[in-house]
Amino acid sequence: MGRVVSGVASLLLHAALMLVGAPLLAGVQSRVRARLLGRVGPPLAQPWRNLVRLWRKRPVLPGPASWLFEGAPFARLSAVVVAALLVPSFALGMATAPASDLLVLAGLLAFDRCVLALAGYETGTALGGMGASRTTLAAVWAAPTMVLVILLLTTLTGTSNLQAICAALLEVPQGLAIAWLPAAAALAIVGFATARRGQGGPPLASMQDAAALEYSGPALALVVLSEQVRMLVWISLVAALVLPFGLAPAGAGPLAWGVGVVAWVAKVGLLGVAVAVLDTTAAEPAMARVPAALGVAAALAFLAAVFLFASQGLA
Amino acid sequence: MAGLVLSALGLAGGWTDPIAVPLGPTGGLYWTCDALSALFALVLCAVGATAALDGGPPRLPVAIWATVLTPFAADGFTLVLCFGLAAVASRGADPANRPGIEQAACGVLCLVAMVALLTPPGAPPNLRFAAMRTVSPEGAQATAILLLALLGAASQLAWPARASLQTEPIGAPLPGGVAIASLYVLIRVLLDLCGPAAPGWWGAPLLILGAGGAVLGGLRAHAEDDLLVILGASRMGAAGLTVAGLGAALAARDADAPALAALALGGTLLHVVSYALADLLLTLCAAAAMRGAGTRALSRLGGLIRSMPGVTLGAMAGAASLASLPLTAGFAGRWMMLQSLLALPQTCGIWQQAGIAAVLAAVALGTALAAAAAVRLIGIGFLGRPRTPRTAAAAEPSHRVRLAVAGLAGLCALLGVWPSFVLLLIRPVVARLMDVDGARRLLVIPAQVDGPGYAAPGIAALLALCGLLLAWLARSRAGQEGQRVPAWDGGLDEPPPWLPFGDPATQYSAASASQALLQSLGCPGTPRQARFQVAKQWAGKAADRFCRPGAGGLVGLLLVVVGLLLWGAW
Repeated sequence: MGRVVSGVASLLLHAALMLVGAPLLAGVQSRVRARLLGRVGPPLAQPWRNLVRLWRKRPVLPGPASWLFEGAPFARLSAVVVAALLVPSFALGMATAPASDLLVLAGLLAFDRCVLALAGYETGTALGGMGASRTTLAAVWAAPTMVLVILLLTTLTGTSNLQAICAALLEVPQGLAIAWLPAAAALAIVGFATARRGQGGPPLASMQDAAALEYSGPALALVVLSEQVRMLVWISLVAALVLPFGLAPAGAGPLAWGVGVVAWVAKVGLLGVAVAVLDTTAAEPAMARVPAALGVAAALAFLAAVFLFASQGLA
Repeated sequence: MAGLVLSALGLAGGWTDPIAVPLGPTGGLYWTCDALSALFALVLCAVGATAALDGGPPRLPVAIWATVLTPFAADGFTLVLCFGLAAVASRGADPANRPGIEQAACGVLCLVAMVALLTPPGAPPNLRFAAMRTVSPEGAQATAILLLALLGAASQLAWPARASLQTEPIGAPLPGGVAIASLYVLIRVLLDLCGPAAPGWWGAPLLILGAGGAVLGGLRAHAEDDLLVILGASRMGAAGLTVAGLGAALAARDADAPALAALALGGTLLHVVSYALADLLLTLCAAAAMRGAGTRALSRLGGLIRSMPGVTLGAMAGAASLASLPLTAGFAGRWMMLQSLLALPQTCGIWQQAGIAAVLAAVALGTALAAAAAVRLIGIGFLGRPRTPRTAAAAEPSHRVRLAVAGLAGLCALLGVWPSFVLLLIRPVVARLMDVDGARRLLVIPAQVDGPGYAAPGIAALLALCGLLLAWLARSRAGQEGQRVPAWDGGLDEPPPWLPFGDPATQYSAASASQALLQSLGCPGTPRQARFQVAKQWAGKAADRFCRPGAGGLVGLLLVVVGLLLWGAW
């Protein structure tokens, strides 16, 4: 009974942290970008103010858009939020732990991308179609890398359940740096090549922005929030897999949770700032380079898997 | 036709002693119904009933009956007779499918030779399944059996021929039904008739061929323009995944991991069932779109979501399952297959492990390509603006068709939210073929017996909760009416009044939607593209050769079959 109560309580706290934290992370990132470019930058809470402002606006729909266009932001945000509920932030053993399968998580993120592409086609504009087809392209080439990294984790821990993997990584010291390096590099490339860039920047700053260009008002608020939550899901996932220390084990008390929250904020802040620095200093890969970059990521992940198999064979 | 369904459902109740109908050269046609037959018969009955929905030429009922009866055959002669009749008649019924009729005949000849190889020596030849199970194929005989079974199935699954876009499809669901029947033949031969005696090395070629087929099918589905050819190509991709799943099951059994083999086989069967339903639903919607909008070319469709909302909703349900998005019928089977592939490296050496990792990457790529093709099919064909005036005036199909679409979409949704329900039907098949009793969990599909797994109802509940909360939030916002304005469209001017649906040239077309992905395999003007073109032409020629062997090829194949028959008899 105590376990159920603690699972539900940690899940609720986790959901609140994720939803509040996602726009804040975007605020931190845009502040870092501005500082690197020699500007003062907006206040940290600016993304929240933008969301509230958009939410109060009158909805405006482009000409022929149907129910699918109107419903897509709701479906996307729901899928991304459910994905966020599956990724551990500060504690293991949340009520969603038994359902937090990595393939399901990848599927939910793919669902988000599919709905984005459909909404892009639905506008009937050239830019919408372009954004949709580019979204599909990046998602397709990212799939092999994702599955190969899941193969690595499954081989290490014997399960594809994310929370079980984190628990196993916490218990066993990672004597697999040689396999982890290429895998982490592969994950970083996938994140860099597929994530939406230039939040708050000019339109068309990113290749995938184009699919959502016709949104405005409350629907745009949902679209922006789901991109921010998606970014936080990615960063929390990498933090939980690569830097699992500080995670409170299942059934731990509030003290361990406090430590976990502090550790999570530090990890997410570190990775988020790293992404922002990378964003500002490195140019976004040209469209034609994205498949090549993702191909390199897949090759790295394959290498990591082979390294792991070889080291297991030697042990 | 209702009678057909009822009789078949009655048959599905199950009996294991073969019933003989004294007909034919081998002492009778034997019929039986075990768990595997019942599973496929259920699916094929749905296909048959849908195909019979709007009548057709007199050859159609022959094709339907032969397709539905194929899983009930209990001896080699009956199996080949039913399957051959189904393959040839379903091609012959539709003039648009005639180019494939030689291909079908080749496939049937391959199956005849395979049955000959599986028949135990002795006179008169005993073609019953029970006798065939006593043969344990080895060496060259095993290679020949595997090759012939794959060729026989591939004749129905690989490289769909392009038909004229002008003709209306007749019995459109039938090719899909025959494809499912050919998968049944493959499973029956490789896992049941060869049984435990099947050589262990069969797993590797099946895994490699299956992964290759999945990628090629997905790519072709992404490149084609004709709705029915896209569905045919994705059928090839799905069949590739099925073959890879069978390979995983055989490899796991060879490595003495029966639980893993059961997981792989259960996932494969679940994939076949869910794929058959999604394919049937999409075929029905494609035929309705063709009747309603007068074309089945993606480049002329568009905007059907406003003129044919019901059909569009059905097509979206089918495409989501095809794309194996979570909470659709396709995801659960794919999940189980991927889980078995993820666990397979634990059972073998480093070289096999590297190979399995490559197969896994190819399967993931094939799945993603199928998803991309499904998104393009819906996005270009059903969403956006109409691309021709005729499409703008599309009309919903008859009540019967709409009812069938709604029923199939409901079934797909049920399977998606509660996939364990079909696993109840699949468990006896797995228990019989793999000698393992699978895990009995009602709500979760586990990867290991006690471990956590894919909890579809839980995810569905979470998603519904989030969606309801968001909808409630949106409703509680001040009741402002939405305002409709012309699309911003990157700042483009409003279209002139004589273009009521906007300028067709400014909308993304079917070709442009697939261009980015195809270009990433070789951009125009680069040597890479030239290589890709050469490879494509070569593959196309080889496939054409197989599709249209001509008289010489048929005679040659006949000679090979006779030779194999003689070899079998000797």
